[in-house]
Amino acid sequence: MADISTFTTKFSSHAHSPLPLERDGLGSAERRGVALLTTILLYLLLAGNVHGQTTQVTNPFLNSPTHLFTSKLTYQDNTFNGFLGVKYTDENNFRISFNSTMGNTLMDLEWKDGEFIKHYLPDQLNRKIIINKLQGDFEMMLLKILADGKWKNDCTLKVGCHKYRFTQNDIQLPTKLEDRNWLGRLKRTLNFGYSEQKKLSTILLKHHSFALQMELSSID
Amino acid sequence: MKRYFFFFSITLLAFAINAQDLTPAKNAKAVKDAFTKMNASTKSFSSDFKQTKEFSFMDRPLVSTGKFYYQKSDQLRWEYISPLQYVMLINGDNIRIKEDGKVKTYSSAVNEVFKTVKEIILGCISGEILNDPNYEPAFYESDKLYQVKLQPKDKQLKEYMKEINIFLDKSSNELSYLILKDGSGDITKIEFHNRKINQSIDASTFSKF
Repeated sequence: MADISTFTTKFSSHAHSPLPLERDGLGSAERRGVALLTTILLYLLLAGNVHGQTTQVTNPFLNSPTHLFTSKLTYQDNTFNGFLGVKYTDENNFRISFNSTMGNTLMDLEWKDGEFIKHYLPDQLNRKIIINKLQGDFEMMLLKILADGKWKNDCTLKVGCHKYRFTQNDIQLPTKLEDRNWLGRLKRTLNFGYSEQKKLSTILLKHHSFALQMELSSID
Repeated sequence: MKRYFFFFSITLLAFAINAQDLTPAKNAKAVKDAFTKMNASTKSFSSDFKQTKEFSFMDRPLVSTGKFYYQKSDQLRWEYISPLQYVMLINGDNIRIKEDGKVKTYSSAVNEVFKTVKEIILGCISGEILNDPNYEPAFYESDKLYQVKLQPKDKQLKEYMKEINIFLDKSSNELSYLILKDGSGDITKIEFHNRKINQSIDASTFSKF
């Protein structure tokens, strides 16, 4: 701490100097100190900014405890239509039921206090690779990432090696999310559409590394 | 106090009546005969339908509506109009489905899944499913209805469909509604309204979308 105050004093005294630092006869140790101080100040400034700007995302699922959507799942040239029922308590607690047009339940999954519960999943779908993909997609779509992540700045949320960039409308409802991996490659995008009453009306989740997308339209 | 006792009695009575609504049939043969009679007398069947799906964890049902056409013995048009548009046509072994503007064709002669779908749907409408040895039947009745509860014996089918309940109107001997309990235990009720029995249905109904 004493070092910082020393550097601050030196930096302050030279900041107003009409002469460049080199000409002022500063040694390499002092120059390193100035660089370090600048870095620290910059960090404090940025950190201050992050904490100062509280990120506010209005969760569109919280305006109603239950949601019903028509769903359209497209994989390559194949389309599958059905329904999605969602009971939503908060980002950590929700349950979904995915149904065929004729009403048959195809999956019934729940996220409850950090636990992932498979209430119903036929053997054909109960495979690790499918489950992981479904779990990840629903956690993004139903904004569980808000509970899991840490804000890097006012619009980017970091969850593990994923970076989610939020775009919001004028009343802080999310309109678009981009999911990028640690290399910065775009993996998925999620778009939310709203009715004139500001209610969630459409959701579109699109994968960019393979031809899978899910479209939901509210039945309200 | 007397008033509370009165309301309590009325409530109990209501529960009792409700509980007695459908009871195991004393004469299972009579119920089976009613279904056989329906099968013999029904050459065609058309109606509007209302499908109500109850979720086990939501107090809000999902309601779909549409049109239903059946021509003995293996022609069917099951058309969902709202909230999704979806048409299934069964014509002999040929099953065609139109959803999202695209038509998919399947053959129930080679596709086991669609063979089962066809057998269940047509069997429920005609009542022929009662003679299918792959289901365990149980018979119930009330003043107004006959009910047949069918439980698949096949373990694989049971994973998708736990129960099929067919309800027959006693007075008209017509199919009234179906209640299906799927693999998850969720209930779907399909009610048939504006029923028309043995009225002519244009052949194109079963071939054109």
